[in-house]
Amino acid sequence: MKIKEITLSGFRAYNQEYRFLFDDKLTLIIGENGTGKTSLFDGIQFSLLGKLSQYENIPEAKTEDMIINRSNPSGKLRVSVQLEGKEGETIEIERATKRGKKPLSPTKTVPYKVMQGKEPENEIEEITFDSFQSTVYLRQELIREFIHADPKKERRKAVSELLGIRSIEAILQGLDEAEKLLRKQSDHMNDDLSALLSQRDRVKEWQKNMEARKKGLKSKYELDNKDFELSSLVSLGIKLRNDLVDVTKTLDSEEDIPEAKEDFEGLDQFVSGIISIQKKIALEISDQVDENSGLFKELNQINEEIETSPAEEELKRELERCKVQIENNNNKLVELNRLDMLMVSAKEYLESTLSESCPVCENKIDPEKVAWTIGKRRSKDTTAIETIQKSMAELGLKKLELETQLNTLKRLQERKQEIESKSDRSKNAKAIDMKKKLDAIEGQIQKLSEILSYESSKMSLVVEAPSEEDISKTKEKQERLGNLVDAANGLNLAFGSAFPKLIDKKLRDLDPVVDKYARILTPHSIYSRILIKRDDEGNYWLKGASDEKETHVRTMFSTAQLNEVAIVLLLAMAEVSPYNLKFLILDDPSQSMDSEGKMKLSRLIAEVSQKRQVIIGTMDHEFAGYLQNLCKEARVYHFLGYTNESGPSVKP
Amino acid sequence: MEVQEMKRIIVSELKAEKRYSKQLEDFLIKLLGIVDAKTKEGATFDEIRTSVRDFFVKEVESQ
Repeated sequence: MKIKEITLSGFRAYNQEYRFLFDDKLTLIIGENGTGKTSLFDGIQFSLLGKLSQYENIPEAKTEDMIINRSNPSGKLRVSVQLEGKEGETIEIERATKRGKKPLSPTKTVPYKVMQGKEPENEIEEITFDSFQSTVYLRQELIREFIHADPKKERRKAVSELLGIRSIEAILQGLDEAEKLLRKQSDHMNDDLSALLSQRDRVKEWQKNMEARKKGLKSKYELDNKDFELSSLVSLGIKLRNDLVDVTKTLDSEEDIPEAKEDFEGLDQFVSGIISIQKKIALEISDQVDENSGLFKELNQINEEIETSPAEEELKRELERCKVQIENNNNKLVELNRLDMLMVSAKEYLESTLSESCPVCENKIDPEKVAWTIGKRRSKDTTAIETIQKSMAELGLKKLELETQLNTLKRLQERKQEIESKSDRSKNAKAIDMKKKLDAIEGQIQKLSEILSYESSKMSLVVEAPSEEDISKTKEKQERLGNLVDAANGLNLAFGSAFPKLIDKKLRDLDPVVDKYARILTPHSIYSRILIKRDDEGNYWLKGASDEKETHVRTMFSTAQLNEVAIVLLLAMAEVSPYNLKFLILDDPSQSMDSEGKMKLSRLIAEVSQKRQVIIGTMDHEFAGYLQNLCKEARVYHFLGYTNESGPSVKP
Repeated sequence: MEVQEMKRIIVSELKAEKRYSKQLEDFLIKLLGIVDAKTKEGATFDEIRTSVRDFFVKEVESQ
C-alpha cells in the first residue's frame, strides 16, 4: 500500500485546503524549520490512525483544538488521503472534526471508501499504531531512546516498540501488575479467612468453656435451666431487694433501694446497688454487735473480779471487829492516861510533904523511895500505852484497807448493774441473726452476679461469632481468586518466556538486513557492523562490531554516527516488516552528517526507494541535491515560508 | 502481531511449561481479544498495559 495524495484543510499549519501528490518512489519535501513539513507528516498519521501519538497524555489535548489551525475561521478540520492497494485499487480515508470537539474516538473500522478497483484484502486492518510506527513513520527519536535507555528498564520497551511487538510487552507488564495486584488481594482474603476461622474456633472454645461454666454454676447453686433466663434473674433480683428492705426495716433506717430494671443492663446496675446497700447494712450490724460484745466483755471481767474478791459480809464483820478493838484500845488509853496523871499528882504531893510521916503507917516518908516507886509505876504504864498505840496504828491501816475493798466491791456492783441494765442480750441476738441473713443475701448476690456475668459473656459470643455461611462464601471467593492468580501467573510466565524468543527471532531476521545497510552507510570506519544483542539477564545492547572486536555504540560513536546507526535500523526494520504498508516517511534524516555521510545516505535511500515508496522531509539542501541527482524522477515540494494568515508557502 | 499467531505461541509455551488447560486457553483468547481491539483503536502502550490489568480486576469484581 502506497500513498497517492493527501488533502489537508484546517489541520495544524494548513489554514486552507492543500493537496499534495506523492511519487511512486521518492518524494522530497524541502524547507526550513517551521514551514509546515512536519504538519504534512502528521496529517498522514492523523488520516490513517485518527490521532497523533505525540499528543498522547498531554492535558491540553482534551479537545481537538491543538490540531486545528488557529487562523481557520470555520474552526473545522478535514484530512483526506488516497492510498493505492497492492492490487492497484484506490482507497480514500477521510477524517473531519471541529474546534471544541473531543478527540475522535478511534474505532476498529477505518473510515475508508474504495474509489477505484476492488475491495482491499486485510490491508486496512494492517493500519495500526504498531505497524505505522515500525514501518511507516520511523522516528529517529525512538532509535535514540533505545540507544540511550537504561538497559534494564526502558530498553526492553524500546526494543518491543522498534520491532512492532510493543503490545506483547504491554501485555507482559499488564500481566505482571495484575498478578501482583491479585496476589495482594488474595493475601488480604487469606487474612480475612484466617481471621474468620480463628474467630470461629475461638467462639467454639468459648462456647465450650461457657457450657462448662454453666454446668459449674448449676452444680454450685443447684439451678434449673430457667435460672439462666433473664426473666428469672430479674425475679431473683427483686427477691433480693425485698429481703434487703426487710433487713433495713428491722434496723429502722431509711435506705434508697434502686428500682429493679427489667432489662439486662439495668439488672447489672441494680445488682451493684444491692451490693452497696448490703455492705452498708452489714457494717451497721457489725458495729452494733461489736459494741455489745465490748460491754459483755467488761461485765465478765467485773464478775470475775467480784468472784475473786472476799465476800462483802466477811469484810464488814472484820471491819466491825477492827472498830471494836480500836474502841477498846481507846478506852485503855484513856484509863492509862488518867493513872499517869494521878501518879504525877501523887509525886508532886509527896515531894511537897517530905518531912511528914505517912498518914497510914506514920513512918517517916522516904522521898527517894517514893520517887522510885512512882517512876517504876509510870514506866510500866508508858510501855502499856506504847503497845496500845502501836496496835491502834495497825488497826487503823487494816480498817482503811477493808473500807477500800468494800468501796471497790460496791463500785463493781454498781457498774455491773449499769451494764446489765444497758446491754440487751435479746437485741444482740437479733443483730447476730440479721447478720446471718445478710450473709445469706450476700451468697445470693454472688450467685446473681455470676449468672449475670455468664449471660453477658454468652451474649457477646452471639454477636462475635462468624456464620458458617460467611466462612463458606469467603472460602469460595478465595478459591476463585486463587484460580485467577494462577491464570495470571501462568500467562505471565508464558508471555515472559515467549517474549524474548519473539524478539530474538525478530532480531535474527533483522540482523542480515542491518548488516547490509550498515555496510553501505558505514557509520563507523572500524566497527562497520551493527548488532542488537541480548545478554543472559535479558538485557538488550546495541553494539558496533569489527571482525576482531565489539563495542557499545553509545560510548564509542559520535552523534552523527549514532544518527547513521538509527537510519540503518529504521530502513532494516521497514524491510523486514511483515506489513504491506510499502511507504516510508523520514523526517530530517541527514542531521549532523558530513558531506560524505549525506552522499552515502542518498545512495542508500535511492536504493530503498526502488522497492518502497519514500517520503523525505529535509532542510538540508546539500542532501536534497544529492538525492535529486540520484533520483531524477522524484517529486519535489519546496516549502518556502509560513505565515499565520496564509499558511505554508509551497512550490511544487 | 496477529491474535492467532500470538495465541499459538502462548499456548505452545503453556504446554511446554505444563501449565496448559482449556480454561486458561479460553481466558487467553478473551485477553487477546481485548488487546487486539485496543491495538486497532490505536491505544498507547500504557493503555494496553492498563487494559490487561483491568481485565483481571473486572474478573475479580464479576465474582
